[in-house]
Amino acid sequence: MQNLNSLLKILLENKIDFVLIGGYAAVLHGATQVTQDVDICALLSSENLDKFRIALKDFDPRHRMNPSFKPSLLDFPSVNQKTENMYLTTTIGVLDVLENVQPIGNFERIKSKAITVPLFGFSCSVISLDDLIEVKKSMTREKDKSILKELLNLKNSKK
Amino acid sequence: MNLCYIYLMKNGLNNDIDLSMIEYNLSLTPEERLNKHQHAFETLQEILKAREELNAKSKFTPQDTPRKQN
Repeated sequence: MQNLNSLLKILLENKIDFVLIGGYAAVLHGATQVTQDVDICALLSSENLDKFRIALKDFDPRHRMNPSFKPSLLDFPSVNQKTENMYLTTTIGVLDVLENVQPIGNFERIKSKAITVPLFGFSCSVISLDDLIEVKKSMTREKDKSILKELLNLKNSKK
Repeated sequence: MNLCYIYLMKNGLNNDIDLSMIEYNLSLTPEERLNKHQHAFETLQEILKAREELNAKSKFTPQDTPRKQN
């Protein structure tokens, strides 16, 4: 059974430096929608990639974007290869890792405005409500428009 | 004030959003929000699985089975 909370907890336990973004961040801000993956913003340095490999090694992490070729995260990217995004499946849930979040910017920028939320005995960085609203405004899917409505209401309710 | 607006205000709806659900979420701790979401997520997974099974079954309707030749 997929468990997105377990996936998030594993990332926190392994001390990966990331900021939670996307639908799961919206849920933490109070949105009611159900999301089917965990999206995070993180630097994909070789050091961080090693941390992801160690954290996820027991959960068959695989790149999922090409249905006919799903290499394991344990093999790809190799030492000299650079990647900016990773779209992974694992046995406990889907995980997307982005270095840049459009239209806001890179990891440092996202992290500079992030809030810290206590979760499962750890501190989790979560994209700020204002940044998340700007991200959702830039998306065209119905699902994102629907979450945007909730986020705008959440912002008004916090005023 | 038109009747539609009065209805939306009465029912706590604003821009298609049920404000009471948001208020309830805000009364929870962040961890409780995620636990509630996980429960909903698991329910959704069960529904999607059931739909897949139903779709697989409907591919083999009685019409597809060869008729007995007399």
